[in-house]
Amino acid sequence: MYICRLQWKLRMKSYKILLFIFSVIALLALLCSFFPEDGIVIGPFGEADVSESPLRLQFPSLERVFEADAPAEEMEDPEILIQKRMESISNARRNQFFDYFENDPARFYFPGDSITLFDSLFYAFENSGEEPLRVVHYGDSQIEIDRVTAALRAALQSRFGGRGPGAQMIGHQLYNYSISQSTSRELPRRMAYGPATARAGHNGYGPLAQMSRLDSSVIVSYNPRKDNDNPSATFNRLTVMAGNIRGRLRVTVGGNTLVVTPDSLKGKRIAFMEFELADSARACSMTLSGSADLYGALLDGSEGISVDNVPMRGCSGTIFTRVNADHFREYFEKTNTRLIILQYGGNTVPYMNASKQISDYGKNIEKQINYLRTLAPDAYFLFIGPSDMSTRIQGKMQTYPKLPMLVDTLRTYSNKAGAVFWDMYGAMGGHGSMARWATSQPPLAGSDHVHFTKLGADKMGDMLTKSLLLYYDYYKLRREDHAELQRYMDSLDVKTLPVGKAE
Amino acid sequence: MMDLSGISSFLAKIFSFDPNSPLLFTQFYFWAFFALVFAVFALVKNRKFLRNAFLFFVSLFFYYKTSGLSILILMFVTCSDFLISHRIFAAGEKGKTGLKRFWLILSVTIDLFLLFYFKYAYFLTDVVNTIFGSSFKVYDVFAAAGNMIGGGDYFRVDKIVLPVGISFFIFQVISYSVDVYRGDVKPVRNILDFGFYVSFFPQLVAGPIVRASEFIPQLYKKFFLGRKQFGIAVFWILNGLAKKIILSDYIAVNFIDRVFDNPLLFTGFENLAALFGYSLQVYADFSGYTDIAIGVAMLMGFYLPQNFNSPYKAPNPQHFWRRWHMSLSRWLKAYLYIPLGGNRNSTFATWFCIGLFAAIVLILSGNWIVSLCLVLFAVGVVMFARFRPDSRKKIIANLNRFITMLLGGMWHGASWNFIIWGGLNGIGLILYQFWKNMGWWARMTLVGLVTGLLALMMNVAPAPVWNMLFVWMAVLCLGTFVRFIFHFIRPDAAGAYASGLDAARAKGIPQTFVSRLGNVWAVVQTFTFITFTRLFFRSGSNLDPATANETAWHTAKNMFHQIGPSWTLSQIPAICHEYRSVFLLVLLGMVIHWLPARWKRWYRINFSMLPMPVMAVIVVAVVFLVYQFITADLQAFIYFQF
Repeated sequence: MYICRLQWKLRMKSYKILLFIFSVIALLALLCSFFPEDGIVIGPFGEADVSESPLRLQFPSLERVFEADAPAEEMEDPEILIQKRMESISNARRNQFFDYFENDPARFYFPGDSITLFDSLFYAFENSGEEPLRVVHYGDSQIEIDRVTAALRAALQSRFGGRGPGAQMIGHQLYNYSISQSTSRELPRRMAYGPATARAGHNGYGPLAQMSRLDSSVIVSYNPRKDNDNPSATFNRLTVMAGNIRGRLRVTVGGNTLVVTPDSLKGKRIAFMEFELADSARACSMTLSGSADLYGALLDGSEGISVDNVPMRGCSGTIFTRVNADHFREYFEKTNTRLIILQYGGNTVPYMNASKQISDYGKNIEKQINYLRTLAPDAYFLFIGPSDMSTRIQGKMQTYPKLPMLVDTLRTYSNKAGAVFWDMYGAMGGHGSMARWATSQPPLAGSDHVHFTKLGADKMGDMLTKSLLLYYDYYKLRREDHAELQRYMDSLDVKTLPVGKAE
Repeated sequence: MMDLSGISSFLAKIFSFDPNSPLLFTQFYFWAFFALVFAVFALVKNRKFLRNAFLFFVSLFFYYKTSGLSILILMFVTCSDFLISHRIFAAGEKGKTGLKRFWLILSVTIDLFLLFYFKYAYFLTDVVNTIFGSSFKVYDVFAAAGNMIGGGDYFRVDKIVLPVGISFFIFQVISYSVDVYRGDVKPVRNILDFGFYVSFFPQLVAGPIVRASEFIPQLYKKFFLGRKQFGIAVFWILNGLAKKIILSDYIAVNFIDRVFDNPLLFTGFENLAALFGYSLQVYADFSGYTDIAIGVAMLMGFYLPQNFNSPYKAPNPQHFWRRWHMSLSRWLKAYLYIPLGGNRNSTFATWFCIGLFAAIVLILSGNWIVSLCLVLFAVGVVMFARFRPDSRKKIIANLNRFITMLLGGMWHGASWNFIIWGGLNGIGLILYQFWKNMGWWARMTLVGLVTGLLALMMNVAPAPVWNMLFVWMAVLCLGTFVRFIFHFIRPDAAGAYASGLDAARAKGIPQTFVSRLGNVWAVVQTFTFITFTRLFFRSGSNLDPATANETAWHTAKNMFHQIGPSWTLSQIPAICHEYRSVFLLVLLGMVIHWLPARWKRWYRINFSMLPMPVMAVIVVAVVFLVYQFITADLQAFIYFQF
């Protein structure tokens, strides 16, 4: 039964054990010194995917085994770093706007350094009581389940008014940090991004770059998250967006029914079906029946600012040109979209090897912004670059080598397209910061060293918003107290007074 | 090539404590350390005093490398229990029972005080703050005293750091004092020998918990290691390394941790897969550590008790606890369950524990109604026991079982998630006790009723948790129905083996295809139940005590939210493809786990009898293989934190 026979009572001498241990160590040392440093490539197996990094066998060199760990990069504790950023924002408010605008890692990069570019946006924010407006935040999985956006929305709505969690998809079980959705059945969903099998076969995806197809009827309800105590928890207007209607679409909300037919669209692509709800509703339910593409439902207040969270998993932000231009145009116009935030880049990071690839991507982003600009002439653009991301390099988690170059490229090209840039990578601490965020207690980023946790996302969203509002404070200072500002400028020895255009 | 400074910094690294890189079995440094230790050990192996003293100091050094100056605590309990145990023994010799008891109580009090201080300080501070509305912060008096004596800032006083392995060595010294009290073991003459027992480095930080009566006699034996034992020791070490690095770290870093960090980013299927994966991870992690510990100790001629016996082969919860962390289960049984009265009667301690839990629940929930319900329930159980004297024994035994499980949960930490985890396991044990005595009609009725109730709840008060429980119960109901029908045809064959297939096989109990099928069903149900309880266990582990409760609650809730609603089944193939390497590893791990014990024994013994050069080459090959899976940052063992 057993392969080898051995005297069962054989005694083991201790020097033999020692010899065994040391010969194993010697053999391993031999392997270490002869094994190629870069490993031996043995894959990929099966169908080769160009985007996959090759599979290699690895073994450390002798130096690597013996080298005392290079003293870990002196990375600041993320908590301290975040606190510092917040302090410099509040300090700047008192006396050092320019210092912040020129040097702080969490500052905004304006095209042509015109720090007053947002003036008319701020003016619109202030007047959103009379003329409600919309901010649309498109991004990749970094903003899924309302991460980052939730903090931005909460701050803007508390400051300038506005309610509701913004745009939601229709007919999918969803649960994010602001609201949850339940549906009587899952509707088939088509997306302009993600795997090729998810495409619609046409470009009518709607302004959220995705749509659900309704062919019979469905009951959808939006329910509040009990722990959401922000203004976004309540809303008093529900707008259903639909198109590609065959026959008719009938939507009933709390006893009110609206019906649209292809004729009632009058040449437009999207039907906006508005329902006024009881003031400060926290939940609502609707029944949809008919045959149509559903582009989403907007849960808003009737005044103030609405902020949409539009996450696209796996997307690098180059898909906007795939979506029908009229869809975007009608949406931006109808909802008075004044700020479009694009937050992409992370999904390209693992596959970027050559500079050419990076600049091509930058050019593509420039094209996307220009495309959207033609469709939303009243909107400002803010591009948020990728966060730090780390990968295993020689046994240690380190920032992807090409990431800093990608961030710089994105800044250049988005500025070139007239978009303002916010450097999330720099704001969170730059090189090597993701490793610290992921290991801090409590964790601010996940163990994949890519995604923020809820806590981390809230902190980043907070930093983004506070930084944005600092520019707003500067704008207010200029408008309200011209003399004061003049004195302030004099003290700084600045000759020209940068006055932005205010509507 | 490396220069001298490389070697000197390497040496510096060997001898200094760095809180960010504790000494782990999975590091090269540990094995270099062990090689040197073994070289000296080989010289002194037969001089018992010298050998024990040497291993004691080596163990202290090992603990210093793992936990820094917490070593002072280890030394303190070593001294105090060494001295007190002699008093216990002396009082016993003189027949002074009262005095003997006093010394025992003193010893256990000191040990428990230290455990409570370091483990439950945050919890107790929270208690005081809740009751009096104060806002005290923890203040480490030991750290402050250390700073005062040393005249510097060696320790942080605003934070109580849990000394690694404190629950393990405290349990070990308690076992020693009690064993001396009971007369099971004579007090050790030499403090160095005793220190060696408390701190023996392979098992110091995460067990197995060694009982004094089993280990102390080994201190006085000469070194002996058979050729086959040597091979088996090497086998356990390799087995442990592979388990830890391939089955635990790799799947955790590449899949499970990601899901638990951000459950809402993943689909229901991924959440469920992560939960099952965690069951394998926590087993591979913990048993991997003990495998290495057992192997290393065996190379030096010491035998540590078995700690795991393929726990996921258990066909019922009761049996699971005889196979999982066996040294803790046995400890709890010997020093907690039996003193509580075991399956015979209730003692003062039973009622004390119930009161204690009511108090803890009151504090954690901040709601006296919850706690009152608990007390009323306990009183109700007692009244029932009084009026039904024939079932009294059963009730008391179940009560004691439940308390033992709850305390077992609390041993991991004082927070909701561990209490819920312990409580669920207690309920599982009790349900099994009832279930095994039920007839098929009763079983069918019960399962049918519960399924119906859950279906009702799904419609009356929709919540993801009902969906999840309903699906689970529906499957259970279906299985029970099949077995129910089957028992009419073959009344003899429908039951599973209460102690598992391996045990049945060893006893020569005849097996049929049908009985094996019944066993598979029971194993799968037990595994699912244990996995489900882990949801609460995992969400709260690895966290700062200040935020543990809240995060654990949110994580568990979010996971329910993802698993509960209906899934988009069409996504599953794509998900499986994306995580194919992780899923295949989990599958492989489970298949190996479920191999019959005699197969495992067969390959273990074959390995152990290989010629030494062949064995050395295999070791190198396995190390090479394992290195391919190594994650960037070595992952600490899960049970280090307890």
